[in-house]
Amino acid sequence: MIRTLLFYPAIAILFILALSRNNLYAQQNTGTIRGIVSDSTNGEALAFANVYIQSLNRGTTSDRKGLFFLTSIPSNRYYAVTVSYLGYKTKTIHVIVSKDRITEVDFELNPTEIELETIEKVAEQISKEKATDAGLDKISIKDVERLPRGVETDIFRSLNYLPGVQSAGDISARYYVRGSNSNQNLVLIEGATIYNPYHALGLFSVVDPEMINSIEFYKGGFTAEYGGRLSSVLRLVTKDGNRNKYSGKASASLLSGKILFEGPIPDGSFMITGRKNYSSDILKKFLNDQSVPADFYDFSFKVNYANDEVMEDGKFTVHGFFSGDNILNEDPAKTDFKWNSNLVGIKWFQLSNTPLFYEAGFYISSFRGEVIPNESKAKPQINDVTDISVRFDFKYLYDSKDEIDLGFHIQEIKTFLEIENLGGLSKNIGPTEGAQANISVYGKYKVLRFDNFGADIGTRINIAGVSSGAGKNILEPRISLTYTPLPEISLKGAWGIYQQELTTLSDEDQVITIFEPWLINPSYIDPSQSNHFVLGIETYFLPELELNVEGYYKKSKNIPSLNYNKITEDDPEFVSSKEESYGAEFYTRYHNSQIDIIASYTLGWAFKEVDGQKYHPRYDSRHTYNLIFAYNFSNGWSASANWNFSSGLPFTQLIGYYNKLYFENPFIRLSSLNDKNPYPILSGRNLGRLPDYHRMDLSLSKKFTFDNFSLYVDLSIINIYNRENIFYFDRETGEKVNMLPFLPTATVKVEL
Amino acid sequence: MKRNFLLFFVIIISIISCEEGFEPTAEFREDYVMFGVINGDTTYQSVVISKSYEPDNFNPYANTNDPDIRDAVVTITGMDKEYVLRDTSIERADKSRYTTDEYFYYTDEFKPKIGEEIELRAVLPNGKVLTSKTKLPGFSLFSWTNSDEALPINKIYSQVLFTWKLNNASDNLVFLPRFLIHYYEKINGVNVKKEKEIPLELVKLGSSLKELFPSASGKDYVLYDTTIVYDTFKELKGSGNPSDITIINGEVELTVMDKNLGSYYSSIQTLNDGYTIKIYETNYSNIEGGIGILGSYFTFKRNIEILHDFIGRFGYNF
Repeated sequence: MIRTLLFYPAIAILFILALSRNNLYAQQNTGTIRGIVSDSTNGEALAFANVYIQSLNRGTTSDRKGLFFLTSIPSNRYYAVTVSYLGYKTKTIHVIVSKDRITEVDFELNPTEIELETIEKVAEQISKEKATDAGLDKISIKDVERLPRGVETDIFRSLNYLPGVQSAGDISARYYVRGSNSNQNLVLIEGATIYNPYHALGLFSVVDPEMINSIEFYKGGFTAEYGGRLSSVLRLVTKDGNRNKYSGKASASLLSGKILFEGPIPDGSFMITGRKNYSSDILKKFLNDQSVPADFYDFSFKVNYANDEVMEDGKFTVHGFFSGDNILNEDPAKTDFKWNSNLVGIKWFQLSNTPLFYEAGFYISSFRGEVIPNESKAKPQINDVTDISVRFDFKYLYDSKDEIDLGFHIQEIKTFLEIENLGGLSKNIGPTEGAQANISVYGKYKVLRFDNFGADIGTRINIAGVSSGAGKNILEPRISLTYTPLPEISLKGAWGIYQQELTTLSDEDQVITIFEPWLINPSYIDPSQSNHFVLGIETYFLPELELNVEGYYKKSKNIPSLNYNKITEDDPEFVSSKEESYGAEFYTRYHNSQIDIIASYTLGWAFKEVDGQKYHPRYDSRHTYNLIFAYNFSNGWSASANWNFSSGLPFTQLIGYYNKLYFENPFIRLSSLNDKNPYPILSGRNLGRLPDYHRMDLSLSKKFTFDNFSLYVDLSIINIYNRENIFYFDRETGEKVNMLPFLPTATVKVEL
Repeated sequence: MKRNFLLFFVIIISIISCEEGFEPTAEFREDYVMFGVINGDTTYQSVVISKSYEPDNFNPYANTNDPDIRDAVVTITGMDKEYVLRDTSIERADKSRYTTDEYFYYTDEFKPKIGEEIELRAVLPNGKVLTSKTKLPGFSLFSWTNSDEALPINKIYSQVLFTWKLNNASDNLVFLPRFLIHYYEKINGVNVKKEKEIPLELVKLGSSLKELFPSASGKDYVLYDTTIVYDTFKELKGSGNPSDITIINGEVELTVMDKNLGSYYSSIQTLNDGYTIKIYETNYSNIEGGIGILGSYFTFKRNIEILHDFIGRFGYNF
């Protein structure tokens, strides 16, 4: 508490000092350029576009709304402002900058087959050099579309191509970032948290790529505006909808059909997407020909409204996302599952006549999952999560180029997890209190005034929390630094403390986690806390070539883990555990107008310690390689190949059996002479390793253009050399269950 | 570019051609197992000692070599005396796996007191030593308090209640109650003595009803729904004639387990009866040098009178 009391005055002094220094800069004759980059055909914002003033050697990138600012531009001069974006024709607009004023210039880019030229690459390089973005990957949806689609294009699966991201295999879209469990990943759709974002046994994510505009993915070291999770942040920004005309897309894969309809409305636009599976036959390929009666849908909408007479430079957005899954077996001996995720939100974004903008949002996100055991041995479960959030984010850009971000986030979370025993009696094993609120504020200051140094320094302050142990760790300080000793080299680093008050309940011995119920940390475990250290180097020796290396170290405590020594009903379901992970990631990409080659390698270690026993968690892979080769033939044809390799994942080996005493014979009762049944003797947890995983996929795509519509055909072959990648080894039967075999698939999309 | 393609595929083919070994099992290690469940109500105590066996093709039932260990020196120390257990064997009821008799060690001279600490020690023929200690449930006085004494119950609420109290009880005792009906069934003109345990719950599983009985816990009471009690009575005759049934009495049997036996019993029951999503049961053991359990218990019984009017309702004899 004393530290906190000291912290507020310290921040205030820092803030005042920063303002005073900024005022000195403000006295110079400078102005600001502000604009929005969008697609000329549909008005959709283009996130992460490169904006460049060659004469000043100044550059920046547009944000997720397509918005960019260039501050501290010497006034009363003409400038050629150039904007470039992958897959669009580069555009230059000349503007004159007035002193102490914001000059607005919007860019509408035309799509083209010709891709970025060298000069625009330089712009991209300059904007990256100063970005305080250690651990951050910005992914455009076009990058996702280049990857082989497989059965279904999937955003979560596309993350697996990034170094530091570990997949659970073909069977699951779950991802594990830098040696941490998947429940430590925050997934935000339009700023709102979504819980359990998986369809069909977790094979696919619920996020339809057609609705996504851009993706920001923090693998660690994320800055102060994000909280609530320990490991990573995946921020998905949806499309606004076509502002110019009504249009639609329809596509079909071997699994599902989907449609998108979008168009203008007075002073705005809308977008509606829907997806429904019509066959689960293809899913048999994922699980050794076992039938998976999965049935799922998802539906989303977004409506935008911006009228200067109602609110000058303001924009309102209403969005919703709904998904549902059923796994209903005909065989009463098998377990049925049902789950739904619903999310609605409203946002107000406001620009002003100064370099100030802010966004306010109100969101309701809910999840309900049910396990219906029928005649199986599964335990009936009901899990409800309700998350009502209000957040306010404020950003101000100084003439010095520095920025300040402030905001608050109020999140009322209620979780309910009921488990029923075979006696038919139900019990809520989560916290029994009513809804609790997490109230946190954040502030950060971005130092961007120096040519070869950038810093992002801030903290989250947790005023109230949802778990009983909240209040012990009030501050979550974060620092992200960039230093550019040479124009071709940037050194980047980040450090931060992160806190999480929610967990999921899952058994690490469970082979397939169909859904993991969420609940607030139990009262006997303090909020989970993690320390991140990130250090990296980015190089720009050639405009077409990126070469990055990043190292990380992560140490976490108070991680709720299933209590494997639970004997009686009164024993806690969880025990506190520790996690540690470290590694290095290497990433290189060469791309020009025709060729895109990506190679990445991760060397990583992950450890978990429960009850004094230290072991490798099941997602610990020592070596991971990804190679992607994409070629654009410029006549509508494109092809890609990708190969990935992951060294074997841990599993627990069988040593032998012994005959264990059970008291099942009612005539003998409690006696050492009662019946005995075989019981496995296992090695230390996860001491064994499955064979290495590797797979190669090929994809060939063609775009056919007709008068009124375009037709996209994609043919893919998964696992072209039919590698028998083992999914798991059944200790009870000795059966090896493999993942996807050689599998040709096709997707057809019609765009009106 | 062609060279690059060629190189790429050469690498891939090289990797494919590398077949790595996969060991689903770790090297077998022989472990020793000892089970001793000490009954505080009798002088007869038995101990079973065996060893672990290899996972032949992951089918433990394929291993038909009897794992019981013979010729061990087994002693129980308690009541200020050491008792050497003798070895013997009994014929197995099920010979589908092991054709040999079940081998075990016993004594019929050791009846420990309430709260007595006992030690079990086995020296195996190969010199390995297995040891364990436990303490019988300790208390100064046992009483049934506020329990129902007869059926039908004469109360406005519809539950049969049994409660008990142990004065100065040792910590972590575990209780396992049973509610039994003792009766005769005339089969081929001969009265055969039988007992039926009354279930605590009836759970619908598919088209059938599964009987669930009380689980071991630290609770000092048990409540039975009278509907289930009456239904159990009704079902005693099965498809036979009610006049073939003669009710003797009702009985509540309470097993009081020490901490070790209670933990072991709970560990093999919690998976099915507890609130957990664990898919493997906890392997509880208190044997030093091996695996298994040494635990102890006492049993208390209480007669429940079943009124003749009540028996008559079902057409049974009394």
